[in-house]
Amino acid sequence: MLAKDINANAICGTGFPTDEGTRLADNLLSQVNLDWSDVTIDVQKLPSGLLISAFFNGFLQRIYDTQPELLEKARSVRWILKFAFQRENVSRWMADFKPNPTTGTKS
Amino acid sequence: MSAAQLDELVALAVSLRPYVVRMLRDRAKLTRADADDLAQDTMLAVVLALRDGRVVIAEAVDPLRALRRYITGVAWHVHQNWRDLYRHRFEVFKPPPPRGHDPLPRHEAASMLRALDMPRWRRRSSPPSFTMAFLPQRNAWAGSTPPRGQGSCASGRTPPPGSGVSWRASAPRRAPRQFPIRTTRRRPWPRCTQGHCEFAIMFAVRCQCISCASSTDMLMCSPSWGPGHSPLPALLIAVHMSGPASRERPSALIPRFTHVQQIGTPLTTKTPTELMLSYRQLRKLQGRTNGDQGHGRLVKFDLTGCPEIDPGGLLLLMYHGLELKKRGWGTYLGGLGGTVKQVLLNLDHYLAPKDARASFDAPPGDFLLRGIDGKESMVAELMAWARTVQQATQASDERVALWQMQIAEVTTNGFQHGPRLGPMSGDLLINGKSYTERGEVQLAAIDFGAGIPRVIEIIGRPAKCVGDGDLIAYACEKGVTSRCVPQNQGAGLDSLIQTVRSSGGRLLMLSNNGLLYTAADEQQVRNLKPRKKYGDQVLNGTLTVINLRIRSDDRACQGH
Repeated sequence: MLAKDINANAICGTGFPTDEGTRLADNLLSQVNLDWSDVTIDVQKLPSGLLISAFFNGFLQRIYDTQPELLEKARSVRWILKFAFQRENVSRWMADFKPNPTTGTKS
Repeated sequence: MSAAQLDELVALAVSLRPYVVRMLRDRAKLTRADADDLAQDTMLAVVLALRDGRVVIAEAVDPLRALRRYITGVAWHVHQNWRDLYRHRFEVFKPPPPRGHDPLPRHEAASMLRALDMPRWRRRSSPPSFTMAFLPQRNAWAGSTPPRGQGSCASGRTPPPGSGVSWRASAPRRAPRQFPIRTTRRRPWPRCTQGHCEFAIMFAVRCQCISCASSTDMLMCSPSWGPGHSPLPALLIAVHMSGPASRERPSALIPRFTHVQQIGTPLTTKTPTELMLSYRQLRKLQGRTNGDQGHGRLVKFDLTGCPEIDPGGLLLLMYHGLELKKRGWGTYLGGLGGTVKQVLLNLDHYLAPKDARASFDAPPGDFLLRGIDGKESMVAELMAWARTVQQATQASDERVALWQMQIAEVTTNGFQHGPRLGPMSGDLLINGKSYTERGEVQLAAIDFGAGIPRVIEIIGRPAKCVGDGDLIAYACEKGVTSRCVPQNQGAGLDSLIQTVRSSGGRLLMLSNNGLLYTAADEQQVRNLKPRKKYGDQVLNGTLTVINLRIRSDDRACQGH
């Protein structure tokens, strides 16, 4: 299993936050032998308008839809953020996230 | 005049060369090289005229002022001759492409319309207080030779008596005759092919997008040429010269308004009371149209008496224009004064192509109106917008990132609020302004979706919620979601309110028939009751206004 530092800037664009969060999750899920307990994602270079609740909830929801067993590990992903308020918000969103079972399987 | 005085006058004239270059470049849209050449010719002509004693400036007049006017006239004369060279050589004059916001067509049109609107007695008695300058040139005649013999005055003002300065000015009496000739050249109205017309129909039946200003399709109008120039209420926005093979005379396009609503109070939205006052002011026009279908008739908001408009007020104005448009009314905005200019600038910016927006000369702290026409472009638009915010406020990166996050939460919610109806269904408008003297910045967004209460009702109305205001407050609770967008988890509004409160700001949300106001230490919920003649809902969509503090430590931690 490989620990991984991920630069989100190389994966995400400037699309809709939910879609970009989903894209980031898909990228991680496609990586084989990824040690989910030791993932660090650098989102410092992403625009602040992208780093909102919809982005992170979209990320977790996609992981839940695809591999529900990874959800708890995904919650503990370390996010490298630029500002203190972002760190507070993200930790709150990560803790508060409740998966929505109605979404269905991976589209 | 003594030799010393003459030398002094010549030196003064020569010092005005940069002014001439700038004028030729900005107004005549000449290239730098051409402007330099013509400026040289102008200066030579002026100096010779001074030395020959052909220009005499009265002692009572400021010589700089008089010289500036004289040089302006000479510069335009030289410019006319230079343009004629093209005709003699059978060349086609191709002015450079317009650089985004081009005010000249508007000024031309304003002059022409004002001339038509002017009562006959005034036309006779009025000095040439309007200008027909630039008429025979500009893009309207691109590709053809400009007609000669039209006005050559660069300023509409009358030269001061006894100043010794004179130049040709277009006679006002000629304007009504010239108007149809200039605008149509006796041909049927051309059609707009710019593809921007979808939105601007909102403003008038024949009023189309003002981003086509450089083409013959468009007649642009502005409230006034300069301070005190037009005592008449002038047409604003644009009159589009298209139509289904219309052969109407241009004078038929001068609008006749069925109703005019004078806005005499500020259109501000800082508090719930102010917001509702502004709303009611604008709604009156809907009341006067009495729910009727417009069938192409025109109404007008006259903003002359409106002392102030803030971003939320501007979005409310846009909303009411749209509502009238839905019922077939063409809506004009007009009047005189700073508020009208501010609204016009915002609309220009909104309707301009995205790549031209950067060239807008916005007042400091004014984050001009822009639309987000798709959720995919939301983040990119907000990034561009945030840059202007930062430049205007000089706030720290962190503070601007926080604002960007807050407005992104608002706009994301706007895109997710359920089904959309109507012509602006895909659009979301944002606007902002910083008030440095108050230490505040106001950001506002409006979407034209189903509205928060209607979306929340999808999951069922909680028993504690009596009206739409309660439903908005409920939607802002942590974990409450409409589940129409499962990924959002109800975190957006809650997060927004938390961050606004923690930063000492205030949040106002008006959606359907509910109003929510949140500040650091208070929360107000209002359940509104719409009057029947105005429809079922106070607002078909959601207006969010965020007032944020610019803290004194913001600038200190710049680059943090």
